[in-house]
Amino acid sequence: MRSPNDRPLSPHLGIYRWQWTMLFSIMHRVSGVALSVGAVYLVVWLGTLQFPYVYSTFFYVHSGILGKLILIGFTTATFFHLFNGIRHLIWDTGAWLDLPQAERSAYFVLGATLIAVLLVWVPLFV
Amino acid sequence: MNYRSQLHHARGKGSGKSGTHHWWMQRLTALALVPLSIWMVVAMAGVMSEGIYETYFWFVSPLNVAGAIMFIIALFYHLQLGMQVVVEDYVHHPKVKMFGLIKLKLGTWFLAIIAIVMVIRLHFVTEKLFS
Repeated sequence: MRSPNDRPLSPHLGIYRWQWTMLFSIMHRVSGVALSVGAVYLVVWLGTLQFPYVYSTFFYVHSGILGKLILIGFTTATFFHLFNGIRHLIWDTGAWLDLPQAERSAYFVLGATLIAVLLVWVPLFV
Repeated sequence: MNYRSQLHHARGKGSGKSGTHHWWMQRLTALALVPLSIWMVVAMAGVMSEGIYETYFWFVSPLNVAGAIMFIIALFYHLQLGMQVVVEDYVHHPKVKMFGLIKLKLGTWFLAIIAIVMVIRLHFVTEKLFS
C-alpha cells in the first residue's frame, strides 16, 4: 500500500477559472462558519439579557455604527446561507442541476439576499 | 437473479445503516431553520429597533419562547453537523481532528442547553415583571 504522501492529487483550486457556482459553493461554507460565530454571539446576547445593566450596555453598543455593522454582517450571512441553502434543498430533489439553471439560481440567491437585508435594515435606519 | 451485493464489494465502504443519517439530519434541520431563522431575524431586528423594555417584553409570550427554543435546537444541531464537515475537511492531524470533533460535539450541546435555560429563565422573570 502506498503511503498517503505519494498518492496523486486531483487538480487543486488554483487551476480553475472562477465561476459563480464555485464562488457560491465556497461562500456557503464561509457564511456557515461565520454563522457559527454568530450562534455563539447569540448565546452571549442571551447572557447579557440575564443582567439588565449589562444588557443596557450591550444594547447601547449595538445602537452605534460599529455594533450595527456587526449585526448587518450576521444578517447578510444568515440570508445568504438561507437562500443558498434553499437552492441546495432544491438540488436535493433533483431539480435545477444543469449549469445554466445552477448559475441562474445563484443570481437569484444574490438578489434575494440583498433585498432581504435591505428589508430588515432600511426601516432601522429611517 | 441475485440482487444481493457480494460481501467483498460492501466491506470497507462504510456503514450501511447510519451512513445517510448525517446527510438526512442536515437537510431536516435546514428545513426547520427556513421559517425559524426568518422569524428570529425579524424578531431580533424588531427588539433592537424598539428598545430594552421591548426586548424583555418579547420573552413574556410563551409562543416566542417556544419558537426561540425550537430555533436554538435546530440551529445548534445544524451547526454541529456543518462544522463537523469543516473540521473533517481541513484538520488532517488525527489527534487534533479527534479533539476538535469532541470539543465541537460537546461544545454545541453545552451552548444549546445554556441558551435554552437562559430563554426559559427570561420567560419566568419577565412574566413576573410585566404582570
